[in-house]
Amino acid sequence: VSAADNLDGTPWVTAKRVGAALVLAVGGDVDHATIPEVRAGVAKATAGDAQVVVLDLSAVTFLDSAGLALMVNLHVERPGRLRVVAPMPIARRPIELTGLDQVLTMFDTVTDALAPGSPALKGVDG
Amino acid sequence: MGSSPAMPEPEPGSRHRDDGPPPSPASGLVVTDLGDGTTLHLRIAGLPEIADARRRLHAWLTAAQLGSDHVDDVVLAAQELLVNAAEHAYRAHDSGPVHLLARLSPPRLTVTVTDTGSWQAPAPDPGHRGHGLTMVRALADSVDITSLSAGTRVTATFTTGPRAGQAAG
Repeated sequence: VSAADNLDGTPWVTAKRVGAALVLAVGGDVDHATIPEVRAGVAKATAGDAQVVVLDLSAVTFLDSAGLALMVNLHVERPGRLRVVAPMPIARRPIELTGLDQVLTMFDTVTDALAPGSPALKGVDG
Repeated sequence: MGSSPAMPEPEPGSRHRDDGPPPSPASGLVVTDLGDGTTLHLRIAGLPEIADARRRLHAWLTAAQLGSDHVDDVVLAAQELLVNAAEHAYRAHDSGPVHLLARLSPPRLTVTVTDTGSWQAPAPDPGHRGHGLTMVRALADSVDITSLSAGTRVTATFTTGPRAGQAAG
């Protein structure tokens, strides 16, 4: 039932502040066709002064190389201050296949990503 | 335009019909499914149709009873090949169609994507294109790239596992 909605694939971006972190949740299909929309949503949400950006990909239904490129850009813009939450294979697999899991700071849950001792937070101190 | 072939497929379960929007009349996507689960041909006219093509392939592979992990892998590889091909086609002076041919012959599945553009090696900073090819090579057992007189043909070969593609009856 809800799977039928997912097949539509329309992407969405929501943002909320959690302390010094900005949690960006992205859902739907993130691919070459939808990336302008996703990029615009992400750019708008990250325009503020958040110390850390948590990119939550838990609700992503498809991720291709255009989505990876967006993540790389986010990482380059704020080295050490991006945390990526990708528990599901549909998002995690492309990240791992390209070795980006060695570049990005990966988590399984938003809670883990927001934990004080996370590697990314240590990066902020430096 | 070629005649749009009827789809003689034997209703592969309940999902195929229901999920995914029907191709809009404006869509240049042409689907040819022999209906025996061995061959699927998709013809797309450009980038906007790739998502639709990807969903068709997903449904076809699912109907062929590939495991969902296999399906996702093949669809991801096909996506990257289609994007590359469509971008080649657009760069060429006349943007011809892009063809995807999926052939299932357990334990092998091949996905062949053909364009009429000019293949270009990844730039020094390949960006998403580099990631795309990296993924295809990681996902497939082998990748063959052939330069045609007008265009490029890329064939990715996958192992489907023993259960895939067994006809139900």
